[in-house]
Amino acid sequence: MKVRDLALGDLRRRLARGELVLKVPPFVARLCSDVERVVEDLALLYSDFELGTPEDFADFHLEVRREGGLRRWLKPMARFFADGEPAFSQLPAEQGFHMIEWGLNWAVSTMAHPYLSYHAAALERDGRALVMPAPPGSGKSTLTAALAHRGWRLMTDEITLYDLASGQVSGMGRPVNLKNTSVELIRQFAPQAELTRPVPDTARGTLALMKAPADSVARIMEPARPAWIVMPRYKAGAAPVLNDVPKARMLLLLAEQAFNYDLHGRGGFEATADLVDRCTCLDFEYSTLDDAVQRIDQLASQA
Amino acid sequence: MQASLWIIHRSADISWRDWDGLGAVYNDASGDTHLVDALSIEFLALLRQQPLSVAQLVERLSDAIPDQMDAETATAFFDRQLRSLRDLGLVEQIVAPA
Repeated sequence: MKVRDLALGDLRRRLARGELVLKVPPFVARLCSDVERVVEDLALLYSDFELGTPEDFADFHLEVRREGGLRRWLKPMARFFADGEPAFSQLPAEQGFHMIEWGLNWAVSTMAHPYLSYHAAALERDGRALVMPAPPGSGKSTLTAALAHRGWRLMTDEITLYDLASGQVSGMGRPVNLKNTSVELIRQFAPQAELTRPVPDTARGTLALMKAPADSVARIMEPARPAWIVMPRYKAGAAPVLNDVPKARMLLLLAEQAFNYDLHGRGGFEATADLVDRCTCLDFEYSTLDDAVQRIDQLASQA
Repeated sequence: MQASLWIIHRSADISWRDWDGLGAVYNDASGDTHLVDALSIEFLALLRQQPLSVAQLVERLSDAIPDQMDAETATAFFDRQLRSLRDLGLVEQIVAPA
């Protein structure tokens, strides 16, 4: 059964009872919430994902609960809990599903130790993966959303999982986080993209989440062989240019962007060295999405 | 004055990879990863085999030293490089046995 097979009322009830078991391979998350915005966004963003039964084992227990008090009548607030423990400050309830997403990122990055997990996007074409590590503000998510609607399979926008045994990467096909001008940019670039209602005036500006295309979610279990590691950087007015990055420098960047590199010790170093060794390592300056997608497509067709 | 020798730091447990003039060195004792140049990788590879003085390193790596660089300049340059690696906790200096 998939999320879309549940009537909205059933989805609301399961969430309220903490019986919503969502499969985000390779993990299973149990979600609990009494926030209406969570129901609405979950129904949109995860409609193509499989559900477990309420009795199934879950790796993570994530909850977003409305806060009490008089203020709830003026501006409803909500708080996030992971495995029953409060995490993050309370936030407006409108950001309820963003809290679930941040919580899921946090849970995966702190507990997914069979994998090396990097703060990086990953997309696949013809069995080869494009991995894009980048600090916030680089335009990574915007470029990822654009590529996902131009022939690339979205594996992940936030956390790339690197399987130490197979040397392949995978993602969870989860939504793409868009901020501020990126929201309108993607609406114009890919009118077919499904986005949540933007949440304005947050500490990070206006936020919206883009649903992963259905064909990406359908192939969520397929890992891919990493072929390119590209550090994108948005720069107003820049022509799309790819430049080589020394592999040793890319190794250090990936180590900095990894969530659990330290935990893997020498194995983490060796695995990251193997990863950069087998990939073409580049940085990428771009300003328009059309040009950027075209240049990345050229890169993919060269090899 | 007794000559000094350079060795891999006794508390370090290092691995490295290098590509095209740059290398990454991992120290399992500290958990740190460092970006170093090709010459530093040469130092580490030689010092892993045996303790060496700066003069011995200059001699072993003479092929890598530009023709216009005299031995004194090369020695000073190597010494600076070794001290940088020492600051990273990758090598250390010991007094040569009498």
